[in-house]
Amino acid sequence: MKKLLLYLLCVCVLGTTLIGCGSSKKNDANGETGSSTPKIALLLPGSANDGSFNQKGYNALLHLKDLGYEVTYSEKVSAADQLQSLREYAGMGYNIIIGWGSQFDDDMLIVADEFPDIQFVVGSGTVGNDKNCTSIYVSGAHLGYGYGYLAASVTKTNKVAFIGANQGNQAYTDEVCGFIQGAKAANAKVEVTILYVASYSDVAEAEETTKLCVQKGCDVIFGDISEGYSGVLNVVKENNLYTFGRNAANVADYPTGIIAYIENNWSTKLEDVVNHYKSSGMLTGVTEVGFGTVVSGWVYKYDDQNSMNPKLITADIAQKFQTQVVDKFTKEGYKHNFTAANANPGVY
Amino acid sequence: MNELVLYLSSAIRLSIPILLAAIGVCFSEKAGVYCMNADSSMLSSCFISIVVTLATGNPWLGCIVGILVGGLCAALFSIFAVKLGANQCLVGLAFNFMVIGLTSSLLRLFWNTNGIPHIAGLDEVAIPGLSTIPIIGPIFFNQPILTYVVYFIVPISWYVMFKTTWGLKIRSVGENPRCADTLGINVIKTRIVSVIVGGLFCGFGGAVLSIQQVQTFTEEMSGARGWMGIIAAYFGGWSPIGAAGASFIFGLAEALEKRIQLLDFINLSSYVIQMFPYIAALIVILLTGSSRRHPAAMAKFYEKQ
Repeated sequence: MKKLLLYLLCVCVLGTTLIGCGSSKKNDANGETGSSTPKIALLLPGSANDGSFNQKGYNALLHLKDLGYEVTYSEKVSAADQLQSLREYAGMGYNIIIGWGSQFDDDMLIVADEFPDIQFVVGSGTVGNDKNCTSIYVSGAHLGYGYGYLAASVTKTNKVAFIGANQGNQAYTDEVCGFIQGAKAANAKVEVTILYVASYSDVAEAEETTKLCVQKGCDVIFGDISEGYSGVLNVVKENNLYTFGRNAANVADYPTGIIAYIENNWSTKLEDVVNHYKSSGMLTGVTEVGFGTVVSGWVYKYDDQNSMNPKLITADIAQKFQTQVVDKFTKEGYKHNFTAANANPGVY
Repeated sequence: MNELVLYLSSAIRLSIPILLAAIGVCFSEKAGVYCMNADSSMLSSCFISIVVTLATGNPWLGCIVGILVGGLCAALFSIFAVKLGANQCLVGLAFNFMVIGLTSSLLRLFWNTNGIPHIAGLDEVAIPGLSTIPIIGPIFFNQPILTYVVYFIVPISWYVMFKTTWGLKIRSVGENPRCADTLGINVIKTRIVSVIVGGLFCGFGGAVLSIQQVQTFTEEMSGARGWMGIIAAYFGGWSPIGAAGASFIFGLAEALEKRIQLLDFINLSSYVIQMFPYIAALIVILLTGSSRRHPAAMAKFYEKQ
């Protein structure tokens, strides 16, 4: 009897799988655009509550859920498990599969070839193909340039610091190099310290690294390091220095020292991706998001009235930032070709 | 000179949580029980210390409860590893994964995705007179108060382990439990107590990390310091003083790594520079490896006959 039930179960599973494969092929043959109610899966490399990049992705997914889409997610997907996880979601019938961060770049291209009916998206990635894979690439260079320009405009000691992790990553390299160039553009005398921590999430290590920057005389210290950021903020606050926030809560926590935070509305971006999938089909190539790009980038936020801390970013600085960064980039773009070696740790 | 003071102060801060875990490992492993649960005791204590401090506003109470929870975690481990004779490595690993999952789940359950807010932690306290001694003063005597407690813990734990009857019992059940048994020592009880004491020390390390250093809790915030403690105990020959020295070397290496990143004449990827502490560890293994010998009955299940 048990064996009979087991055989029955196997037949059911096999049948379901075959039916699933069949419907997928039908879609392909008819050349249909995306499903009217696509199922969406998100793979996060970190935890959904890191208060930073991963949480933004998670919140964007919740936004899609609120819009009525069937969604699911996995968090803390390690580099070794990425490919297998992507294949599993593809096999489970998800129509749009999103990998959160450029660490998914290579694996996305592989699975995109294997599953041509599925739209693959890399959030903040750098790759795309001409069929079914796209990256929403928030330009690290634009982002870093903005941070650097503002940091160098605020510093009183002419020493600013950027604490990072994951040096080899191209988006990160762009951000670090953009930070250095932006700082030098605002203030030729500024000294830029670049340091890296080994772990995004080790708050104690981040604190110790920030203390080293303080000892070196830096008075504007920014750390783009996920959970580790709370260590940076803690030390900056203790020493009455300046930094950028990650969200409104940071401003509320330390209003005098937060210059601004970036509101990168991933909910809108993912909604655009899904809408495009439904109306026009697969998105391809790389979509760069930055100052003056076609897809709107981020906005600087401080509070309901101000986009930046009015006590730190005076009207004069704000005007210069608008003309020398935003307007200039909108008009001319920002050509760069940074390599990982350009972003080595040190003092620039 | 000021640079040296800052460097050594940083090394002490970085080494203290590892040192406490290492002393805990010494007690457990000297009794013949692999302390693979060190990180789980540390992480559970990190979480509970912060939660209790937030709830009561009293960091001292948070610290005490954190230490006790580290011990409780070790007590549970000892039931499986000592009493029931399960594979100590596997049970230890299971405990580590379980505590990671449990603390992360509780964090989300109670604080949603916002994370635990910062607490008012323990500030540095300069010891009058001693803190003004040139070089040594600012390095050793201008630290947070729990660090001073650790200064006393190291020699006391060494004394307990090597100069007291209980210490002799611990070492004997770790070397030859059968012989210890014939001399009337309760092997199982001694091992369980040693594991619990080890857990209390690891819990103290977690409390120092969360209350004194970071002043909040984030997922997996122990950052493998429990594992570093296991290595430090090995380097130190399972002696609290040796383990303290090894922990300090780790602290020195980690603090040095950040400073190397800032040297003008070294233009290397951060990944290469971040390998330096591990290269230092490998060199120490090479230099000391042959002279290190596990307690003879390490990881061997003992059943009274």
